[in-house]
Amino acid sequence: MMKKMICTFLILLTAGSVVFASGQQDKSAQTKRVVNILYAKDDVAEGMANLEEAFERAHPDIDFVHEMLMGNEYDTVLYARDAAGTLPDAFTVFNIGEAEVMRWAKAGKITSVDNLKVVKQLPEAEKNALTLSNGNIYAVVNSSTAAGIVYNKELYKKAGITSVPRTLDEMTAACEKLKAAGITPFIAGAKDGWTMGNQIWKPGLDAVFPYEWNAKRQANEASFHDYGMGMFDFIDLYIANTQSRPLDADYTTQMALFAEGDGAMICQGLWVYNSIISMNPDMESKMGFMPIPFTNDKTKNNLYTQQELAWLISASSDIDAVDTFFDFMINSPEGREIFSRDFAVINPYGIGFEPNPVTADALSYIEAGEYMFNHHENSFPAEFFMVHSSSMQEYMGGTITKEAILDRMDAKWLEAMSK
Amino acid sequence: MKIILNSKKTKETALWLFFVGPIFILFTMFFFVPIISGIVYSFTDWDAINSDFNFVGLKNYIFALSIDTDFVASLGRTFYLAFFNVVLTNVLAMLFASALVSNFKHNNKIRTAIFLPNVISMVICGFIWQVMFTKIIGKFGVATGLGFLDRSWLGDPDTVLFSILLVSLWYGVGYVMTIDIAALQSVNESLIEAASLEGANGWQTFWKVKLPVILPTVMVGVFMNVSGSLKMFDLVFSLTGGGPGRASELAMLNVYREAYQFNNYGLGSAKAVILSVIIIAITIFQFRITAKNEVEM
Repeated sequence: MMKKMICTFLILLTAGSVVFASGQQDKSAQTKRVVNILYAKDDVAEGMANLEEAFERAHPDIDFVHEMLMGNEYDTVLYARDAAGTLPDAFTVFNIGEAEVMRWAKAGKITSVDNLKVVKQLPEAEKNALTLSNGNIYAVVNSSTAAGIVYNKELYKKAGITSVPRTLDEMTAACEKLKAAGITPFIAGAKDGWTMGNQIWKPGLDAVFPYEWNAKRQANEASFHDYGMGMFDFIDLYIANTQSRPLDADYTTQMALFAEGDGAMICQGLWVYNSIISMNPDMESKMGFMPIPFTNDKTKNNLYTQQELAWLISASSDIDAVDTFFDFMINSPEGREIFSRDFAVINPYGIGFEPNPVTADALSYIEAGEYMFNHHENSFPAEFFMVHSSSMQEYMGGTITKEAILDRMDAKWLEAMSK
Repeated sequence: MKIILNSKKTKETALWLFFVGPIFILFTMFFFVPIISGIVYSFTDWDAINSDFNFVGLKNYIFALSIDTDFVASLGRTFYLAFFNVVLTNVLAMLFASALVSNFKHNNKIRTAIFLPNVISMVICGFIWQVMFTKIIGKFGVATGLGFLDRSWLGDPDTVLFSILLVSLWYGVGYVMTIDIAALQSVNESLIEAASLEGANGWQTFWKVKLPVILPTVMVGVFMNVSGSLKMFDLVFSLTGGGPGRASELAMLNVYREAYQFNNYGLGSAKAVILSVIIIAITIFQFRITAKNEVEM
């Protein structure tokens, strides 16, 4: 009897919990619209929290739910939610090129954003860069970032380098001066292949390979051998001037060694500033930023920029609510203030902000028109980031030649196309 | 009478459902369904996002085994590492077990020290040894005059697999040793005495008497070790990330990358199925060998 009572009680408890939980969900869904976002950028998390408060105050009929995840689990969670039918209304992706975005578009999971207010107000050049082959824009881009060389001004001065090297020959001379002064020119984090694949190979592709080469490569009418050798002048210089055992050092070690002043330069992006300052606050006034000089033609050595905080919008989202949110973020006085203060990013909306010294240097190149958008890698097969990274590691380790790397790129391209 | 039987049967069914039902449902949901769906997906071009996919027949299997040189190379590396890992783990475990089976001072402390790494997560283990290899072993070599230790353990394709093997042994020997100690303690003393009276020396006693008796138990350790070595992922992921280049990319890491980084879930599933078939085949082979030995016992 007692057992029966306990069993009945447990069953009722479980059933009651389910009914109660579903009832709660229904209630909130009936009364409020929701904008649910998922993103992978920890340095804007505080800004998002402030936006939530301001946005919900201005639009009490819309709930703003935001969640930030970093690392490998971001994609896992995103795909799991998609599989469960709960894709967030807006979510960030790391690559907004044709290859990545069209997967979502072809699956009917995302909607084009051409009619969103913040997209309509973008400069034409930015719109063109975001337009995919089917003529639609799918990404709402909030910010851009840049990859290049972060350098230590104090060590440059110590070595007697008076101006930023803007050509390959000038960089070679700078490395010689640094070494003569007992300073390691470059700190590498080659154990993490992306620190070379993403930060050297990708910018190198856009610096050395002409824009139109990409369409020919897509049509199998071009080879990586066409211009690839031109990238190795800088790569060889880099490898010859890193600290000892660069393949033992990962990204964190690269940051730590640079922050400690163990080397004069790192090939990284604007995102490293906060990490380095947190390791050594004295570095704040010592850091500068420059494009990578892949060639001796200064006009080709432009700053490599890429879209950073880029959102895809779920096809099942309340698009009016999403439009309202982004419009609030970019165009309302409150939203602009939060965006300017808490996001503090290079953006296409003309929202000014107080840049740190590294970002200020990047802005000076952008304002002078000495920059390029990432182009080639965006349309490459997804596995190419791995091909770049592992090939660079092998080349640094001396187990593969330049020719073999370029052969591999061509072969891997055909292999990827046959999958 | 009939009514009573039915009622008894119903009770038995209810009891069976009560005890087995929940785990059966969980096992079906999280084991059988994923396995079946994995096999189905291995014949498709599914990319994990698009709900539509095409059946491509054996294309993924043909691609994985004849075109994808990285996967084939990763399989080769996996077998190479698994062979040395299984042999060395079991030999070392048996040596330690034989040395530590008898009671002497500090015996338990030494056993605990050898077993201790096993309680750490494999991922943590990878990060600990990353620091050891890149920051400590080299300096230790310089300080002690052992110059050969001062080298790039994880950055050199020639030494990276050895480094993984070393950590795997450090991690796994203690567990197998514990099984072996339990097995050795279970050997009937009269057998050992009889061998001794017959004039058998220590080695002969171990080889001809103890080992045949404990072989079924030892094989349990070998089973787990073979399967674990062929599926090795977390240690490589955290220690080397498969690098430098792809020099330490084992089969499981290749499968993970294909599915979760390159978004080719169909091909990734096919590779996972290939690896599973290999592991199942080896396990069946092992079972047969063990069963044969047990009969001979």
